[in-house]
Amino acid sequence: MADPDLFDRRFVKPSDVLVQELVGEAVLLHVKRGHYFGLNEVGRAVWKELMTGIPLRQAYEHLLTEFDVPPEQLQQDLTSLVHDLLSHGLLEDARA
Amino acid sequence: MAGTDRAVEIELIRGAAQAFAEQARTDALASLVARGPDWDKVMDRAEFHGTIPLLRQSLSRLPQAIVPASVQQALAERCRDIAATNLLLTSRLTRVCAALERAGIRVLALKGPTLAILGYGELSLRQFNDVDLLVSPADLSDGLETLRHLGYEFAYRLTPSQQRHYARAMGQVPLHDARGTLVELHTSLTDTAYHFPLGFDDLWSRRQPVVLHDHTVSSLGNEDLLLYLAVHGTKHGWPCLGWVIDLVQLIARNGSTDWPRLLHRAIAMRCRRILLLSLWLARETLGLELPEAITQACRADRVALRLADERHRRLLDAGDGESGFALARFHLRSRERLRDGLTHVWTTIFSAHLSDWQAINLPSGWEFLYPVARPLRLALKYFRPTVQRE
Repeated sequence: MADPDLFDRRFVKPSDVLVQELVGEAVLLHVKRGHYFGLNEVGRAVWKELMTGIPLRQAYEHLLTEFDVPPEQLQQDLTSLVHDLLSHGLLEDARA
Repeated sequence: MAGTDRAVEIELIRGAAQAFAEQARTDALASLVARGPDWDKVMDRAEFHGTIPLLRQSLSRLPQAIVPASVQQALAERCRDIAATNLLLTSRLTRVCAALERAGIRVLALKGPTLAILGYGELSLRQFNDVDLLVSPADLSDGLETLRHLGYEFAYRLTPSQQRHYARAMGQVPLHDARGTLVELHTSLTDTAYHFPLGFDDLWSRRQPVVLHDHTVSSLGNEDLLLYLAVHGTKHGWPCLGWVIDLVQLIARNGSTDWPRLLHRAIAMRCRRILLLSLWLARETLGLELPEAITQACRADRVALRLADERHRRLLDAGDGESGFALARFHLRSRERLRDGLTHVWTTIFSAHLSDWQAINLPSGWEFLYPVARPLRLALKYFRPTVQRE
Protein backbone atom coordinates (compact mmCIF):
# COMPACT_ATOMS: atom_id res chain seq x y z
CA MET A 1 0.00 0.00 0.00
CA ALA A 2 1.31 3.41 -0.96
CA ASP A 3 2.31 5.55 2.03
CA PRO A 4 1.15 3.11 4.77
CA ASP A 5 1.79 5.69 7.47
CA LEU A 6 -0.77 8.02 5.86
CA PHE A 7 -3.33 5.23 5.84
CA ASP A 8 -2.91 4.64 9.60
CA ARG A 9 -3.69 8.24 10.42
CA ARG A 10 -6.93 9.87 11.46
CA PHE A 11 -7.90 13.36 10.40
CA VAL A 12 -10.11 16.21 11.56
CA LYS A 13 -11.58 19.34 10.05
CA PRO A 14 -9.70 22.49 11.13
CA SER A 15 -11.83 25.09 12.90
CA ASP A 16 -11.22 27.57 10.07
CA VAL A 17 -12.86 25.29 7.52
CA LEU A 18 -16.55 25.33 6.66
CA VAL A 19 -18.30 22.68 4.60
CA GLN A 20 -21.39 22.86 2.42
CA GLU A 21 -22.91 19.87 0.67
CA LEU A 22 -24.39 20.38 -2.78
CA VAL A 23 -25.98 18.14 -5.37
CA GLY A 24 -23.56 15.23 -5.71
CA GLU A 25 -20.59 17.18 -4.35
CA ALA A 26 -19.34 19.39 -1.53
CA VAL A 27 -17.48 22.67 -1.07
CA LEU A 28 -14.81 23.20 1.58
CA LEU A 29 -13.98 26.81 2.40
CA HIS A 30 -10.91 27.92 4.32
CA VAL A 31 -12.29 31.08 5.92
CA LYS A 32 -8.98 32.78 6.75
CA ARG A 33 -7.27 32.01 3.46
CA GLY A 34 -10.44 32.76 1.52
CA HIS A 35 -10.13 29.90 -0.94
CA TYR A 36 -12.42 26.95 -1.51
CA PHE A 37 -12.04 23.39 -2.73
CA GLY A 38 -14.68 21.37 -4.54
CA LEU A 39 -15.14 17.67 -3.83
CA ASN A 40 -16.88 15.48 -6.38
CA GLU A 41 -19.13 12.61 -5.37
CA VAL A 42 -16.25 10.31 -4.47
CA GLY A 43 -14.36 13.09 -2.71
CA ARG A 44 -17.42 13.91 -0.69
CA ALA A 45 -17.77 10.27 0.33
CA VAL A 46 -14.09 10.25 1.38
CA TRP A 47 -14.61 13.38 3.44
CA LYS A 48 -17.65 11.96 5.20
CA GLU A 49 -15.75 8.79 6.05
CA LEU A 50 -12.81 10.74 7.44
CA MET A 51 -15.06 12.96 9.54
CA THR A 52 -16.30 9.92 11.44
CA GLY A 53 -12.81 9.73 12.97
CA ILE A 54 -11.79 6.39 11.48
CA PRO A 55 -8.27 5.87 10.08
CA LEU A 56 -7.81 6.39 6.36
CA ARG A 57 -7.22 2.66 5.91
CA GLN A 58 -10.71 1.89 7.22
CA ALA A 59 -12.21 4.62 5.04
CA TYR A 60 -10.46 3.07 2.06
CA GLU A 61 -11.99 -0.33 2.83
CA HIS A 62 -15.48 1.16 3.13
CA LEU A 63 -15.10 3.04 -0.14
CA LEU A 64 -13.91 -0.08 -1.99
CA THR A 65 -17.28 -1.65 -1.30
CA GLU A 66 -19.16 1.53 -2.30
CA PHE A 67 -17.45 2.45 -5.57
CA ASP A 68 -16.50 0.31 -8.52
CA VAL A 69 -12.86 1.43 -8.65
CA PRO A 70 -9.67 -0.68 -8.90
CA PRO A 71 -8.01 -0.85 -5.45
CA GLU A 72 -4.71 0.63 -6.66
CA GLN A 73 -6.55 3.52 -8.31
CA LEU A 74 -8.51 4.23 -5.14
CA GLN A 75 -5.32 4.18 -3.05
CA GLN A 76 -3.64 6.67 -5.37
CA ASP A 77 -6.70 8.91 -5.49
CA LEU A 78 -7.06 8.87 -1.71
CA THR A 79 -3.37 9.62 -1.21
CA SER A 80 -3.52 12.49 -3.68
CA LEU A 81 -6.72 13.92 -2.23
CA VAL A 82 -5.59 13.77 1.40
CA HIS A 83 -2.23 15.37 0.53
CA ASP A 84 -4.08 18.14 -1.36
CA LEU A 85 -6.41 18.79 1.55
CA LEU A 86 -3.54 18.82 4.05
CA SER A 87 -1.47 21.20 1.94
CA HIS A 88 -4.37 23.64 1.60
CA GLY A 89 -5.11 23.55 5.33
CA LEU A 90 -8.51 21.92 4.77
CA LEU A 91 -7.63 18.83 6.78
CA GLU A 92 -5.56 18.29 9.93
CA ASP A 93 -3.95 15.31 11.51
CA ALA A 94 -6.03 14.31 14.53
CA ARG A 95 -2.80 13.93 16.55
CA ALA A 96 -1.88 17.61 16.00
CA MET B 1 -42.58 45.27 -22.12
CA ALA B 2 -43.22 42.08 -24.11
CA GLY B 3 -46.86 41.43 -24.96
CA THR B 4 -47.98 37.94 -25.92
CA ASP B 5 -46.03 34.68 -25.64
CA ARG B 6 -43.83 34.48 -22.62
CA ALA B 7 -40.27 33.35 -23.30
CA VAL B 8 -39.63 29.69 -22.50
CA GLU B 9 -36.48 30.72 -20.63
CA ILE B 10 -38.33 32.64 -17.90
CA GLU B 11 -41.04 29.97 -17.75
CA LEU B 12 -38.31 27.42 -17.15
CA ILE B 13 -36.91 29.47 -14.28
CA ARG B 14 -40.37 29.84 -12.78
CA GLY B 15 -41.03 26.13 -13.36
CA ALA B 16 -37.81 25.22 -11.57
CA ALA B 17 -38.86 27.33 -8.58
CA GLN B 18 -42.27 25.68 -8.48
CA ALA B 19 -40.74 22.22 -8.84
CA PHE B 20 -38.42 22.97 -5.93
CA ALA B 21 -41.22 24.28 -3.72
CA GLU B 22 -43.57 21.41 -4.42
CA GLN B 23 -40.97 18.65 -4.82
CA ALA B 24 -43.04 17.77 -7.87
CA ARG B 25 -44.00 19.12 -11.29
CA THR B 26 -40.89 17.60 -12.79
CA ASP B 27 -42.92 16.57 -15.81
CA ALA B 28 -43.90 20.20 -16.41
CA LEU B 29 -40.26 21.19 -16.03
CA ALA B 30 -39.17 18.44 -18.41
CA SER B 31 -41.64 19.73 -20.99
CA LEU B 32 -40.11 23.18 -20.77
CA VAL B 33 -36.62 21.75 -21.21
CA ALA B 34 -37.84 19.79 -24.23
CA ARG B 35 -38.83 23.07 -25.93
CA GLY B 36 -35.13 23.78 -26.42
CA PRO B 37 -34.53 26.99 -24.48
CA ASP B 38 -31.59 29.28 -25.11
CA TRP B 39 -29.51 28.12 -22.16
CA ASP B 40 -27.34 31.24 -22.16
CA LYS B 41 -30.51 33.27 -21.63
CA VAL B 42 -31.69 30.84 -18.95
CA MET B 43 -28.42 31.22 -17.03
CA ASP B 44 -28.45 34.99 -17.46
CA ARG B 45 -32.06 35.33 -16.24
CA ALA B 46 -31.57 32.87 -13.38
CA GLU B 47 -28.55 34.90 -12.26
CA PHE B 48 -30.60 38.10 -12.38
CA HIS B 49 -33.46 36.56 -10.42
CA GLY B 50 -31.13 34.92 -7.89
CA THR B 51 -32.37 31.40 -8.64
CA ILE B 52 -29.29 29.56 -9.92
CA PRO B 53 -29.19 27.07 -6.98
CA LEU B 54 -32.91 26.27 -7.28
CA LEU B 55 -32.57 25.85 -11.03
CA ARG B 56 -29.77 23.35 -10.57
CA GLN B 57 -31.57 21.54 -7.78
CA SER B 58 -34.73 21.12 -9.86
CA LEU B 59 -32.95 20.19 -13.09
CA SER B 60 -30.94 17.55 -11.21
CA ARG B 61 -34.21 15.64 -10.64
CA LEU B 62 -34.79 15.27 -14.37
CA PRO B 63 -33.25 12.52 -16.51
CA GLN B 64 -29.74 13.87 -16.96
CA ALA B 65 -29.66 13.24 -20.68
CA ILE B 66 -32.23 15.97 -21.43
CA VAL B 67 -30.12 18.78 -19.99
CA PRO B 68 -26.96 19.52 -22.02
CA ALA B 69 -23.79 18.44 -20.21
CA SER B 70 -22.25 21.89 -20.73
CA VAL B 71 -25.23 23.48 -18.93
CA GLN B 72 -24.99 21.02 -16.05
CA GLN B 73 -21.29 21.80 -15.72
CA ALA B 74 -21.84 25.56 -15.84
CA LEU B 75 -24.56 25.30 -13.19
CA ALA B 76 -22.36 23.10 -11.00
CA GLU B 77 -19.47 25.58 -11.20
CA ARG B 78 -21.69 28.54 -10.43
CA CYS B 79 -23.31 26.72 -7.50
CA ARG B 80 -19.88 25.95 -6.05
CA ASP B 81 -19.02 29.67 -6.25
CA ILE B 82 -22.32 30.61 -4.60
CA ALA B 83 -21.84 28.02 -1.86
CA ALA B 84 -18.34 29.30 -1.11
CA THR B 85 -19.52 32.92 -1.05
CA ASN B 86 -22.39 32.01 1.25
CA LEU B 87 -20.06 30.16 3.61
CA LEU B 88 -17.69 33.12 3.73
CA LEU B 89 -20.44 35.65 4.39
CA THR B 90 -21.91 33.38 7.05
CA SER B 91 -18.58 33.19 8.85
CA ARG B 92 -18.33 37.00 8.68
CA LEU B 93 -21.83 37.33 10.07
CA THR B 94 -21.23 35.02 13.04
CA ARG B 95 -17.93 36.76 13.81
CA VAL B 96 -19.53 40.22 13.74
CA CYS B 97 -22.54 39.09 15.79
CA ALA B 98 -20.27 37.53 18.41
CA ALA B 99 -18.25 40.75 18.67
CA LEU B 100 -21.37 42.89 19.00
CA GLU B 101 -22.80 40.60 21.67
CA ARG B 102 -19.53 40.70 23.64
CA ALA B 103 -19.84 44.49 23.54
CA GLY B 104 -23.30 44.17 25.08
CA ILE B 105 -25.10 45.13 21.85
CA ARG B 106 -28.30 43.34 20.88
CA VAL B 107 -28.24 42.39 17.21
CA LEU B 108 -30.70 40.77 14.82
CA ALA B 109 -29.56 39.18 11.58
CA LEU B 110 -31.70 40.07 8.56
CA LYS B 111 -32.14 38.08 5.34
CA GLY B 112 -28.90 36.53 4.03
CA PRO B 113 -27.85 33.33 5.81
CA THR B 114 -30.65 33.36 8.38
CA LEU B 115 -33.33 33.61 5.70
CA ALA B 116 -31.58 30.81 3.81
CA ILE B 117 -31.91 28.55 6.86
CA LEU B 118 -35.44 29.68 7.82
CA GLY B 119 -36.79 29.51 4.28
CA TYR B 120 -34.76 26.76 2.64
CA GLY B 121 -33.26 24.71 5.45
CA GLU B 122 -29.69 25.17 4.26
CA LEU B 123 -27.24 27.84 3.20
CA SER B 124 -26.58 26.87 -0.41
CA LEU B 125 -30.04 27.30 -1.96
CA ARG B 126 -30.27 31.08 -1.72
CA GLN B 127 -28.03 33.69 -3.31
CA PHE B 128 -26.90 36.61 -1.18
CA ASN B 129 -23.93 38.96 -1.35
CA ASP B 130 -23.81 40.93 1.87
CA VAL B 131 -24.51 40.81 5.59
CA ASP B 132 -27.45 42.77 7.03
CA LEU B 133 -27.68 43.34 10.77
CA LEU B 134 -30.18 45.35 12.81
CA VAL B 135 -29.28 47.09 16.07
CA SER B 136 -31.10 49.56 18.26
CA PRO B 137 -30.53 53.21 17.20
CA ALA B 138 -29.10 53.83 20.67
CA ASP B 139 -26.41 51.21 19.97
CA LEU B 140 -25.36 52.47 16.56
CA SER B 141 -22.32 54.40 17.74
CA ASP B 142 -20.98 51.51 19.84
CA GLY B 143 -21.83 49.11 17.05
CA LEU B 144 -19.81 51.10 14.52
CA GLU B 145 -16.89 51.24 16.95
CA THR B 146 -17.03 47.45 17.39
CA LEU B 147 -17.03 46.96 13.64
CA ARG B 148 -14.13 49.39 13.21
CA HIS B 149 -12.09 47.22 15.56
CA LEU B 150 -12.87 44.29 13.26
CA GLY B 151 -11.55 46.24 10.27
CA TYR B 152 -14.79 47.59 8.78
CA GLU B 153 -15.00 51.13 7.40
CA PHE B 154 -17.72 53.18 5.73
CA ALA B 155 -18.17 51.68 2.28
CA TYR B 156 -18.43 54.92 0.29
CA ARG B 157 -16.24 58.00 0.01
CA LEU B 158 -18.38 60.49 1.91
CA THR B 159 -17.58 63.29 4.30
CA PRO B 160 -18.41 62.70 7.99
CA SER B 161 -21.41 65.03 7.60
CA GLN B 162 -22.64 63.04 4.58
CA GLN B 163 -22.11 59.77 6.44
CA ARG B 164 -24.28 61.01 9.32
CA HIS B 165 -26.95 62.18 6.91
CA TYR B 166 -26.83 58.85 5.07
CA ALA B 167 -27.23 56.89 8.32
CA ARG B 168 -30.19 59.05 9.42
CA ALA B 169 -32.00 59.00 6.09
CA MET B 170 -31.35 55.41 5.05
CA GLY B 171 -31.59 53.87 8.51
CA GLN B 172 -28.40 51.92 7.88
CA VAL B 173 -24.64 52.30 7.57
CA PRO B 174 -22.85 50.33 4.82
CA LEU B 175 -19.38 49.12 5.84
CA HIS B 176 -16.75 46.99 4.19
CA ASP B 177 -13.53 45.29 5.22
CA ALA B 178 -10.25 45.06 3.36
CA ARG B 179 -11.52 42.05 1.40
CA GLY B 180 -14.63 43.89 0.28
CA THR B 181 -17.15 42.06 2.47
CA LEU B 182 -20.17 44.35 2.76
CA VAL B 183 -21.86 44.58 6.17
CA GLU B 184 -24.88 46.86 6.46
CA LEU B 185 -25.63 47.91 10.00
CA HIS B 186 -29.30 48.91 10.13
CA THR B 187 -31.13 50.90 12.79
CA SER B 188 -34.49 50.50 11.06
CA LEU B 189 -35.93 47.98 8.63
CA THR B 190 -36.48 50.58 5.91
CA ASP B 191 -35.27 54.08 5.22
CA THR B 192 -36.93 56.60 7.51
CA ALA B 193 -39.26 58.06 4.86
CA TYR B 194 -40.89 54.68 4.15
CA HIS B 195 -43.58 54.08 6.74
CA PHE B 196 -43.06 50.71 8.44
CA PRO B 197 -43.25 51.20 12.22
CA LEU B 198 -41.58 48.14 13.66
CA GLY B 199 -39.17 49.23 16.39
CA PHE B 200 -36.13 47.30 17.54
CA ASP B 201 -37.42 46.48 21.02
CA ASP B 202 -40.62 44.94 19.62
CA LEU B 203 -38.64 42.94 17.08
CA TRP B 204 -36.20 41.79 19.76
CA SER B 205 -39.04 40.54 21.96
CA ARG B 206 -40.23 38.26 19.15
CA ARG B 207 -36.81 37.14 17.89
CA GLN B 208 -35.94 33.54 17.08
CA PRO B 209 -32.60 31.72 17.22
CA VAL B 210 -30.98 30.46 14.02
CA VAL B 211 -28.03 28.05 14.09
CA LEU B 212 -25.29 28.84 11.59
CA HIS B 213 -22.36 26.39 11.69
CA ASP B 214 -22.49 25.76 15.46
CA HIS B 215 -23.09 29.47 16.16
CA THR B 216 -26.52 30.70 17.26
CA VAL B 217 -27.60 34.15 16.12
CA SER B 218 -30.89 35.97 16.62
CA SER B 219 -33.18 36.78 13.72
CA LEU B 220 -36.65 38.20 13.24
CA GLY B 221 -39.62 36.13 14.33
CA ASN B 222 -41.45 34.52 11.42
CA GLU B 223 -44.36 36.96 11.37
CA ASP B 224 -42.08 39.99 11.51
CA LEU B 225 -39.92 38.44 8.81
CA LEU B 226 -42.92 37.84 6.59
CA LEU B 227 -44.05 41.45 6.94
CA TYR B 228 -40.51 42.66 6.37
CA LEU B 229 -40.13 40.63 3.17
CA ALA B 230 -43.44 42.01 1.87
CA VAL B 231 -42.40 45.58 2.64
CA HIS B 232 -38.86 45.16 1.36
CA GLY B 233 -40.00 43.57 -1.89
CA THR B 234 -42.69 46.18 -2.47
CA LYS B 235 -40.34 49.05 -1.70
CA HIS B 236 -38.07 47.87 -4.50
CA GLY B 237 -40.91 47.05 -6.88
CA TRP B 238 -40.45 43.27 -6.69
CA PRO B 239 -37.67 43.13 -9.29
CA CYS B 240 -36.51 39.55 -8.63
CA LEU B 241 -38.29 36.24 -8.68
CA GLY B 242 -35.93 35.08 -5.92
CA TRP B 243 -37.52 37.53 -3.50
CA VAL B 244 -40.99 36.13 -4.23
CA ILE B 245 -39.62 32.63 -3.72
CA ASP B 246 -38.25 33.72 -0.33
CA LEU B 247 -41.76 34.71 0.72
CA VAL B 248 -43.28 31.46 -0.51
CA GLN B 249 -40.57 29.34 1.12
CA LEU B 250 -40.88 31.09 4.47
CA ILE B 251 -44.65 30.56 4.49
CA ALA B 252 -44.29 26.94 3.42
CA ARG B 253 -41.68 26.02 6.04
CA ASN B 254 -43.57 27.81 8.79
CA GLY B 255 -46.90 26.03 8.50
CA SER B 256 -48.44 27.81 11.50
CA THR B 257 -48.83 31.38 10.24
CA ASP B 258 -51.54 33.17 12.21
CA TRP B 259 -53.13 34.84 9.19
CA PRO B 260 -55.81 36.88 10.99
CA ARG B 261 -53.20 38.30 13.35
CA LEU B 262 -50.79 39.00 10.51
CA LEU B 263 -53.44 40.90 8.58
CA HIS B 264 -54.50 42.77 11.70
CA ARG B 265 -50.90 43.84 12.34
CA ALA B 266 -50.48 44.95 8.73
CA ILE B 267 -53.66 47.04 8.97
CA ALA B 268 -52.45 48.65 12.20
CA MET B 269 -49.16 49.58 10.51
CA ARG B 270 -50.89 50.87 7.36
CA CYS B 271 -49.21 48.12 5.31
CA ARG B 272 -52.31 46.08 4.48
CA ARG B 273 -52.16 46.69 0.76
CA ILE B 274 -48.43 45.94 0.71
CA LEU B 275 -49.05 42.59 2.40
CA LEU B 276 -52.01 41.70 0.18
CA LEU B 277 -50.34 42.60 -3.11
CA SER B 278 -47.22 40.65 -2.06
CA LEU B 279 -49.22 37.54 -1.19
CA TRP B 280 -51.30 37.78 -4.38
CA LEU B 281 -48.14 38.21 -6.41
CA ALA B 282 -46.76 35.02 -4.83
CA ARG B 283 -50.05 33.26 -5.61
CA GLU B 284 -50.12 34.37 -9.24
CA THR B 285 -46.44 33.77 -9.91
CA LEU B 286 -45.66 30.63 -7.94
CA GLY B 287 -49.05 29.17 -7.00
CA LEU B 288 -48.87 30.01 -3.29
CA GLU B 289 -52.00 28.67 -1.63
CA LEU B 290 -53.67 31.30 0.52
CA PRO B 291 -56.30 30.76 3.21
CA GLU B 292 -59.81 31.78 2.21
CA ALA B 293 -59.87 34.85 4.47
CA ILE B 294 -56.71 36.24 2.89
CA THR B 295 -57.97 35.46 -0.61
CA GLN B 296 -61.16 37.36 0.14
CA ALA B 297 -59.21 40.28 1.58
CA CYS B 298 -57.07 40.39 -1.59
CA ARG B 299 -60.10 40.24 -3.88
CA ALA B 300 -61.73 43.06 -1.90
CA ASP B 301 -58.80 45.35 -2.70
CA ARG B 302 -58.86 45.80 -6.46
CA VAL B 303 -55.87 48.12 -6.38
CA ALA B 304 -53.81 45.42 -4.64
CA LEU B 305 -54.87 42.90 -7.30
CA ARG B 306 -53.96 45.28 -10.13
CA LEU B 307 -50.59 46.07 -8.58
CA ALA B 308 -49.84 42.38 -8.05
CA ASP B 309 -50.78 41.63 -11.64
CA GLU B 310 -48.57 44.47 -12.85
CA ARG B 311 -45.61 43.18 -10.85
CA HIS B 312 -46.30 39.60 -11.97
CA ARG B 313 -46.15 40.61 -15.64
CA ARG B 314 -43.05 42.72 -15.06
CA LEU B 315 -41.28 39.82 -13.33
CA LEU B 316 -41.92 37.37 -16.12
CA ASP B 317 -41.71 39.54 -19.22
CA ALA B 318 -38.08 40.04 -20.12
CA GLY B 319 -38.43 43.74 -20.62
CA ASP B 320 -36.18 46.63 -19.78
CA GLY B 321 -35.73 48.13 -16.36
CA GLU B 322 -38.36 50.39 -14.81
CA SER B 323 -38.30 54.16 -14.88
CA GLY B 324 -38.19 56.06 -11.62
CA PHE B 325 -41.51 57.63 -12.52
CA ALA B 326 -43.23 54.24 -12.92
CA LEU B 327 -41.77 53.02 -9.63
CA ALA B 328 -42.90 56.21 -7.86
CA ARG B 329 -46.43 55.65 -9.20
CA PHE B 330 -46.34 52.08 -7.93
CA HIS B 331 -45.26 53.31 -4.49
CA LEU B 332 -48.09 55.83 -4.31
CA ARG B 333 -50.69 53.22 -5.20
CA SER B 334 -49.25 50.56 -2.87
CA ARG B 335 -50.14 52.57 0.27
CA GLU B 336 -53.71 52.64 1.53
CA ARG B 337 -52.95 56.05 3.01
CA LEU B 338 -51.93 58.56 0.36
CA ARG B 339 -49.77 60.53 2.79
CA ASP B 340 -47.46 57.56 3.36
CA GLY B 341 -46.84 57.21 -0.36
CA LEU B 342 -46.39 60.94 -0.86
CA THR B 343 -43.88 61.20 1.99
CA HIS B 344 -41.74 58.49 0.46
CA VAL B 345 -41.92 59.90 -3.06
CA TRP B 346 -41.28 63.46 -1.84
CA THR B 347 -38.22 62.32 0.09
CA THR B 348 -37.02 60.33 -2.91
CA ILE B 349 -37.20 63.45 -5.06
CA PHE B 350 -35.89 66.12 -2.70
CA SER B 351 -33.57 64.47 -0.17
CA ALA B 352 -29.96 64.04 -1.12
CA HIS B 353 -28.87 60.44 -1.63
CA LEU B 354 -25.58 58.68 -2.19
CA SER B 355 -25.83 59.14 -5.94
CA ASP B 356 -26.13 62.92 -5.49
CA TRP B 357 -23.09 63.18 -3.26
CA GLN B 358 -21.10 61.08 -5.66
CA ALA B 359 -22.27 63.03 -8.72
CA ILE B 360 -21.99 66.54 -7.24
CA ASN B 361 -19.50 67.12 -4.43
CA LEU B 362 -20.68 70.37 -2.81
CA PRO B 363 -18.31 71.86 -0.25
CA SER B 364 -19.18 71.71 3.42
CA GLY B 365 -21.81 74.28 4.31
CA TRP B 366 -23.40 74.20 0.85
CA GLU B 367 -25.38 70.93 1.34
CA PHE B 368 -28.63 72.97 1.37
CA LEU B 369 -28.35 73.09 -2.44
CA TYR B 370 -28.78 69.30 -2.81
CA PRO B 371 -32.63 69.47 -2.52
CA VAL B 372 -32.47 71.73 -5.60
CA ALA B 373 -29.83 69.83 -7.54
CA ARG B 374 -31.35 66.40 -6.92
CA PRO B 375 -34.74 66.91 -8.64
CA LEU B 376 -32.98 68.46 -11.62
CA ARG B 377 -30.68 65.45 -11.86
CA LEU B 378 -33.61 63.04 -11.41
CA ALA B 379 -35.65 64.79 -14.10
CA LEU B 380 -33.07 63.58 -16.61
CA LYS B 381 -33.66 60.00 -15.46
CA TYR B 382 -37.47 59.91 -15.28
CA PHE B 383 -37.88 58.72 -18.82
CA ARG B 384 -34.89 56.43 -18.75
CA PRO B 385 -35.46 52.92 -17.36
CA THR B 386 -33.46 51.92 -14.32
CA VAL B 387 -33.13 48.50 -12.81
CA GLN B 388 -34.25 48.65 -9.18
CA ARG B 389 -32.41 45.93 -7.36
CA GLU B 390 -30.60 45.81 -4.09
